[in-house]
Amino acid sequence: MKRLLLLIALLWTVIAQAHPLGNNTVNREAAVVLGGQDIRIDYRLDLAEIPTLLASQSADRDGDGTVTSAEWQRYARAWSEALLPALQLAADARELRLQTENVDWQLVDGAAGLTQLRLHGVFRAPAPAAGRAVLRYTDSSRPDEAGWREVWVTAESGARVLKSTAAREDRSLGLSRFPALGGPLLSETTAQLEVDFDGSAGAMPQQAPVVAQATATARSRGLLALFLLGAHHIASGWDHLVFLLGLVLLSRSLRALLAVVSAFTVAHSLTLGCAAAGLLTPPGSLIEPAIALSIAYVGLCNVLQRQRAHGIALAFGFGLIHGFGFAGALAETLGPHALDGHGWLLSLAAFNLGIESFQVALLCVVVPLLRYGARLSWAPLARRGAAHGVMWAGLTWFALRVSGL
Amino acid sequence: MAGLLAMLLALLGQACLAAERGPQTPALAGLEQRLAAHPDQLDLMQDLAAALLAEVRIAPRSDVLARAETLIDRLLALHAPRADALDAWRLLIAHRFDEALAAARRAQTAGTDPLLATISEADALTELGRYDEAEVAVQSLLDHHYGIASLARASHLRRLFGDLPGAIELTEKAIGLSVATVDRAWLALDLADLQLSAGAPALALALATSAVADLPAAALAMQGRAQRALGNAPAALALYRAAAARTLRVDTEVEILRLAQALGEQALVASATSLLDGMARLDAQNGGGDRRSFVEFHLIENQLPAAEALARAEWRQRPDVYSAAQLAWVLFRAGKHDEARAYAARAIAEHSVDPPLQWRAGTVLAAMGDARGVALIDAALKPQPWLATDATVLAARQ
Repeated sequence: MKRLLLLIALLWTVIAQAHPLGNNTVNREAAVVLGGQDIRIDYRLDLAEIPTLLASQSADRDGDGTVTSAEWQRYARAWSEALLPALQLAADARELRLQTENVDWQLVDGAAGLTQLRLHGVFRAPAPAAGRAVLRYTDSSRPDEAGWREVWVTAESGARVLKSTAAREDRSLGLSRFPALGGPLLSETTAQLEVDFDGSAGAMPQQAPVVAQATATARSRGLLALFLLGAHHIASGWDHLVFLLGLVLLSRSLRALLAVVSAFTVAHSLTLGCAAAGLLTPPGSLIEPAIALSIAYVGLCNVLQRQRAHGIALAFGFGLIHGFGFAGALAETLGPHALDGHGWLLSLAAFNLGIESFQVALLCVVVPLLRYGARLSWAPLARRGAAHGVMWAGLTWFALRVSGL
Repeated sequence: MAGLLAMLLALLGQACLAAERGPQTPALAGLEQRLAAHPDQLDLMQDLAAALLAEVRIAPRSDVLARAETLIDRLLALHAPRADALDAWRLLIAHRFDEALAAARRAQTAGTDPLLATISEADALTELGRYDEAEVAVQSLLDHHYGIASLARASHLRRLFGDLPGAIELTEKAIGLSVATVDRAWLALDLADLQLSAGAPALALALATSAVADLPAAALAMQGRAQRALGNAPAALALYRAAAARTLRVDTEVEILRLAQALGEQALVASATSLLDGMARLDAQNGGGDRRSFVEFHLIENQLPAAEALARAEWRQRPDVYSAAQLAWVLFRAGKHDEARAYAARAIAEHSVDPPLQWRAGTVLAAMGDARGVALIDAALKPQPWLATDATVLAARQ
């Protein structure tokens, strides 16, 4: 539980709180992406539960009470058509004509069994001639709706921002993260910038996936956060650490230790992947006591000094169980959208890499210490004490987890 | 013809709305800027929190309320006595009346904001149905802080105690004292409500129209009520829809459902039902702030067990005459007549003048052979004869 609380605290900086502004908000973000040859508005609209209910009534064209994908697609297109005239982009007071490039939509789970609608539109206009220009962006759509309103600016190759009234970073990470509830109300609908265009096509190809470009910064931060989460999870997960200690104690040589740890790593990566992909998700009520028993068993092997019994097989078998534990923690803390969307494998890899990196760092410290300690006269006694400690810790966790305390 | 008129009225309302853009927003932005420059100034925090709570009263926005709550929490941590009155106010908004009363009394002891503290105490006592104590608090308000806030509360109590002309007179006095247009608009809507109870819907309509520029959603809904009382259900429906387009409120949506049902507008019935169903689930999860309106929704839907559960919960949290009348009605519909009669008796204990309350309590009592029932029904139907044709009432009588 303590571990879970720590993780939640960490996650505050990582994961979106679905709607910090309530069930009746419409949140929006416009990223003004400047390139040498064109300017792109990457626009996101995030409807909380009640606006989504209203939207679904408009989207349900045949009035049968359900909204099909085709109806949502039509709704998203209509939304972008209505939005376009409300988005004004001008360079040196000359209007730049935006055109719709792409529109998509997504429904995600919301509160009370309801859903939330996410709309995403990409609009593009040609950049002004090479040289300096004063750009002005204005969004006059939906002026009365409550919610987050963010405008930010970023430049790709071919354009350089000299001055900007808008932020230069994506503060909500594409409306996936909001600051703490109750902060000052953000209400940005305009941006004025001075830009130096060089007229080049820039490094990014015109046909590059637009969403990926606009959210590249967000994604890299998200991956870093998942990496840190993985490291934090193992660092604050005493049960995994004790198990690892048990494996270290069981290994008589560095080579054996590497083999055992590798087997553990491969195994838990496998089950973590399976669980995250939704292929296999055993209940936590089974996995958590099983992890505790695995610790007790490793402790017992140490107490009985059966190092050679089944080191690699044991590490692999128990690694499979621990992987489910990692996946459970990941889902528990990140919620059902933990690995939604594009690049989930990358997200999973970042989380796993965090776990492995911490493990390796820990072994780099612990193994030399143990090797040094082995020369001391009281080393056998300490080893025996540690073995008993591992075993009894495992048994205690087992008792606690089975009893639900 | 009626539909066209309704559409015109709705368009007129919308035109007024378009011209109006949140009069308090620049003031809020200014306070936010000043607080950003001086983040530790308690006065600024207090002013901003009060302005935000006032904004919530006009348009119930959770983001604005959350910002106010953050500031109040900070004030409570820095200097609790300064924040107690504001805390009472926000607890009232959250319908936590017992806690609001305690906070208001703490604020009175501290003496830092006596006006807000006494207003909050009077409001909490009224919502808790402790009318004798509320009367003392309101008298104290009149004695020490004579003005629109004290007169408005005195008017409300007069009405609850059965003195409708007295209530009207006090509200008119308050209008005479009001300076800010938004205050005048609130009072005009209060007066419109009283005029509806007095059987003067045309006057109520005119008063509601005068408030459209300042309080569009509330004024349009009141226009809808007035049109309903005038017997023009299509116009009422159009006005309610215009109000909902401006600010989505559960009570407005319930009226839309009620009228759409009465007018046989099946598509609208379906959309309002689905919307209210979703909102009911959210409200249950969020603490039941709109419980009273959802009781009405469940009654319309004939979901009596759900209506009863909510009405009982509302009575526990807010034991005033309106909750008593609603619970009596729900229990009556559910066939629990003896219990219904007890709550109906509580609802009329103060002789409150409110036609829907009188109609419901009267119907319950009359069905149980209580002589007071018929008199109450007559008193309710005189100003609002349409109550007798209300579909849900008719359903209950069958």
